[in-house]
Amino acid sequence: MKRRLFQILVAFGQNGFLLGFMNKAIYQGSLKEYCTPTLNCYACPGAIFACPIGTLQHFAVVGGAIPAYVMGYLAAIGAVVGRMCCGWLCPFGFFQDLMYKVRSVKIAIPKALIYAKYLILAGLVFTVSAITQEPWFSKLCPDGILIAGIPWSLLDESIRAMLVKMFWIKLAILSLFAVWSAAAKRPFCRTACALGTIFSFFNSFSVYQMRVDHRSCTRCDRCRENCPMDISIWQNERSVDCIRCLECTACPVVSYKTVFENLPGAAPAELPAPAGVRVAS
Amino acid sequence: MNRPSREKIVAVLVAALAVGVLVWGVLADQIGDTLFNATLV
Repeated sequence: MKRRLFQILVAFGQNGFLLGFMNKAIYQGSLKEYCTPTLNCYACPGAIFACPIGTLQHFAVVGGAIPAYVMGYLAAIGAVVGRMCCGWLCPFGFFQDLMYKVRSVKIAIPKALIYAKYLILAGLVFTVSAITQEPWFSKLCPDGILIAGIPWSLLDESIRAMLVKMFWIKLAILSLFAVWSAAAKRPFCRTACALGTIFSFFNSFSVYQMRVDHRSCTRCDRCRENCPMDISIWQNERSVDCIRCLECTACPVVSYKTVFENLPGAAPAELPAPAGVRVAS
Repeated sequence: MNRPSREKIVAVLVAALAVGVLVWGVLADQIGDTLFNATLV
């Protein structure tokens, strides 16, 4: 419930420039110089911040400089909380969470597709953008059509009249992920999101880590049922796909702790005494 | 049980490196150098 509230507040908060919708003009203030830690199209009429993937592509297109600021910004967040922004802040992740609530046939995502996101990050975000001098991830991003393309086409008749083939291609991509999200858990995050892929590199090294008390875990796999990324956290606490949504911490054997804290449940003094054994106080 | 010290050292090193890169970007005046600003000009 707390996570839902966060997702709603952030989705509307970072796209909360209402004058943009009323005046049909993109916000161009000083906050647009800074990136959000989520996918969020700068062209949304209400967008207040820039998109980090758009910024990375801008550097790939322009060339000649390492995008140290945006890379350091994403790395600093990832180094502390790993992929947590995907679980708590991302509007497109929230959209997929909502779509999965639609009653439909539920399917698993083929394992081979999980690796597509690495190809998309290396290929589409960096290589293709650098070669073609066009930010191709942003051009095809389903979040862009959801929060920018569709609102603009509804708001402005002149834009509606100018819709080109690319709009319909993006709409088809969004439709694919929307339908897929109703059937499978977060397919875009798991197969295509370049930003989530960058954060995922830090899941193994971040200050905060998921922890499972393996001595108490019964391997019932309820954590996987609750997980929006379909992970059995007891099998891999450092999964690159874990978005640290903390849904699995509903189970008392799972926790989210810093590496400076003791392993959960492992401190002998904290373990419950076996039946019949008196503990000296 | 204490965590392995290697885990703590790696986490601190990665975080320090990330902050270092961020500071480098700030000093290189890259704030504001976004796709949004690029499309404005």
